[in-house]
Amino acid sequence: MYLWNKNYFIQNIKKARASLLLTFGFALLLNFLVVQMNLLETLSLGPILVNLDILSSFQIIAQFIVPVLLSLILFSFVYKKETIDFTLSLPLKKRTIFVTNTIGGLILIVIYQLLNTFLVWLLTTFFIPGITVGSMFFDYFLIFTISYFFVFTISNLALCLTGNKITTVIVILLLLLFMPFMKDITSCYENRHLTLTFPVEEQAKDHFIGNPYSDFIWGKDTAIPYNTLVTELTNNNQSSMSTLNYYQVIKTFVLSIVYIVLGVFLFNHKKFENYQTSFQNRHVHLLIKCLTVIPIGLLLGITMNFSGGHILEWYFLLALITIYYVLYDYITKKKVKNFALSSIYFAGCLLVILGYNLFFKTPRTIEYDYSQVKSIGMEWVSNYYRDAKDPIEIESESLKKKIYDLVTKEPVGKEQGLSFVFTMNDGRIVHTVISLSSEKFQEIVREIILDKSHVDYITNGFNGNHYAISYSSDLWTKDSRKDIYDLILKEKNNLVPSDYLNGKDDFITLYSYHDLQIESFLVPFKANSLLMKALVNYYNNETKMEFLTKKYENDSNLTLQYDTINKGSNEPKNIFILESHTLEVIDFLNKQDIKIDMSKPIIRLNFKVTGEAKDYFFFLNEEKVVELIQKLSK
Amino acid sequence: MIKLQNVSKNFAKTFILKDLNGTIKDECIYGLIGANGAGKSTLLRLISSIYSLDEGSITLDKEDVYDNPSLKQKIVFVPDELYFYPNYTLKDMANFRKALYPSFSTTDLESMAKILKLPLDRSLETFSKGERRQSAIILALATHAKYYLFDETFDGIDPVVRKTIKKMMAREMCDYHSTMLITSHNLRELEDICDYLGVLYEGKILFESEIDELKATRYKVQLSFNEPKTKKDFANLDIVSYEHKGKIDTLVLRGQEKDITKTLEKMHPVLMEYVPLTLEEIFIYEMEDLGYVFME
Repeated sequence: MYLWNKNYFIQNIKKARASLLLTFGFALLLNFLVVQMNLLETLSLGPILVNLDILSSFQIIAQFIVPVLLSLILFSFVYKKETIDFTLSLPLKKRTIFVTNTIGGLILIVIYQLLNTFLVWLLTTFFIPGITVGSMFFDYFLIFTISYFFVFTISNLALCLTGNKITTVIVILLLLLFMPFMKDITSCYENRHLTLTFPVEEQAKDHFIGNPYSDFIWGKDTAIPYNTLVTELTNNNQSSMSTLNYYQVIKTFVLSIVYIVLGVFLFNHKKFENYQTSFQNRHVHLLIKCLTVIPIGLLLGITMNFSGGHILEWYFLLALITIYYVLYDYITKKKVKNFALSSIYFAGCLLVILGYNLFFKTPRTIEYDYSQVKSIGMEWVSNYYRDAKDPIEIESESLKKKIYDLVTKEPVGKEQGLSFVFTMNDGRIVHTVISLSSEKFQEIVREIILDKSHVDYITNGFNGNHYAISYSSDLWTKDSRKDIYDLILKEKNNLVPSDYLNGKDDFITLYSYHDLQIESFLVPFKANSLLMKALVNYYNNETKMEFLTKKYENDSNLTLQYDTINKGSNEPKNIFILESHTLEVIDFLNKQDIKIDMSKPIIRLNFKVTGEAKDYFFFLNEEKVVELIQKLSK
Repeated sequence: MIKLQNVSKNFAKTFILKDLNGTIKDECIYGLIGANGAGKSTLLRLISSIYSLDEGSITLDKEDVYDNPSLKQKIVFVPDELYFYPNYTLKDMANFRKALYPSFSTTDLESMAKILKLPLDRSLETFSKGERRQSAIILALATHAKYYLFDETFDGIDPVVRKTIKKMMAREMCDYHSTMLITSHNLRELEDICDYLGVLYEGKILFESEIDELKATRYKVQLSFNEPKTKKDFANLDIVSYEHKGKIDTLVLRGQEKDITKTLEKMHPVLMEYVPLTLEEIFIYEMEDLGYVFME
């Protein structure tokens, strides 16, 4: 076969087995330890569902190191004359050598990621038995296999272009980070000095709690490695994997294929006699140097710009760049003796950095009218029954117009705040927070929940591929609490919009894994007597069996709280904590019937035992709780 | 047959080889001599398609050699700086070669290793410089390729082993009708093994000739005349080198002995004596004639 040579691959792997084992073994071990630490740390806060973030923190860093090392190991021959002679004199086409090493690298990455995924699954199953979702582990495997492969192909491409290892690493970083970084830094500059607004009428002028602002997310829609790294580094309250989507996974994969094809071409035409200096051509050397200076300059520039930058700081920045510019030649072993030429490139670099700062520092305002609105979603209400990254886009045109008018024309109210997300035709996302009267708030929220998009979402929320259920701090697999789950599905049609609005304080959460994330769908249950009854029976039974029948000789390690689970009440109440009457409480509750009157107000008693993560719930009618309190106060 | 047509190669805009032309006939050992930096190693790397040509063409058996695996299976290149996979033994390297060259004979390798007393199961990293070179040569010869390219191949090998290896090379050429291109800056290493000799100078093959023919067409003559002579007096001869010391004129001349003697006798020398020329001397004189001299 022209592109693959098994014998060469086996010998190349055999030759490098020590380095490969060390690299992969070390990475496997570190990932195992980091995931274990993450799991232990998260579990100490209470029962959790494992998500990609908990599993990925080491991989986000390793994806920039392991594939580069792999590439340098497999293609190590390109940096030494004797190894170039040995390898290229073999009866193989150059493209066969390149493709064999590339496919070989992919095979090794796949094996490594399979082992990684297996170990991570093993850890998760050990710490959180039962409640895992297979497709998440498949995605974990897929995302990092593709990401590693992407970095690996870029490394292979870089070594086709360069003459020594240090320049290879520089070109890898440029290929990986330069374009998305420039896109991000441009958006960041723009975001800083751009004002977005709507044509707001006089009576609504004081409407905004917060002025409209554009949404800026680092690494949006970029390839996986950059996206995950930049989200991790910028720490903008987002978990690094939550901004990722399947589009980016596919994009990363497609780019990898493109880079392989490009790599084959470049390897075929590589000048193997250039194995020491960065590049044979001094213009290419200077250009690459400038491409490394510009991002550093812009990053330092934007930092100074935002902090008000004193003139001395700018001189300091210039001095830093100059030192770097000179040192770069020594590091990459290529000295350009033509001082004038080097100075021209340096001046060009400074002009770009200065131009960027001056251009994007100029304040600009964009005023949007309704024709430029692509979609509208409501942020706060969405969270009443869901926990997902994007708001639901409203479908009804009339409702969209009504919301736009609400933002621009509605007189100011003071009781309730409401937040909308406008996606504009130019791709910008504008957030607004406005204040309204309670009546207007209720009216608009009701209309939004009755909008087809929300109705569809609720339907999908019930029909989703759920794998776990939680209530308060209890977490179950769907199958272990099938009774509750089936009842939820049975009763879903009896839930009305107001249940979703009022149900935010007490709900059962259904979890599904969707779009690389664990999405939670919150089902309000206290308004639905059948759902409520099922829960009451479950907890009262369980608490009686596991808690009330136990003897607690020392009552000091027990605390008791109670909340009103009352129809129509939005406020949870922590009435008091009782520490010295445990046995009396236990005796009292033991005498109670576990079945309660669902038509009367209900109170949930919450027992916490020191040293136990689990909460014990016992539901009683309010009148019984009053009786208990009176008894204790005597 | 290896045919080089207008071969040019430059490194960082400096020509190493420029418009090089030449032919290496089948079933011969061709010695390529050149000073350091003359482009000998670059030429071998171009023939084995490690480097790409800037201009011109290199064909083996009328086929373009560049990136041609089927043709490369007929070529074995032993470079000046050797490389073996880390911790590999001769046996491991033999297995590796066998996987890529169908004509490779492990038995032949073993017998050659036995003659040279090279252990088959010891890591090549523990070998001395000379043993490593011997190993590289026998690994190449056991391939039974059609073309061999040896770069400074006798470096670091002691004279006794060198003689044995030369015998092995000659036998390989006879038995398998191979063609060998051997480069060296040391002419003495080549004169007893090569059939042909080429001199590479400033990126071009200055001359190429059969060694026997070369020896038969270069003569060193010492002459003495009653009347002092200058170089101009010998203008009708093809002079490679001329030296006048006291009453003695020493000339290195190109041509047939008979013709040279006839021409010189016409000048009535008092003394005329032919001095034996080694191949190395011929090489030095030719290079001096081309202006290649080091000023002390």
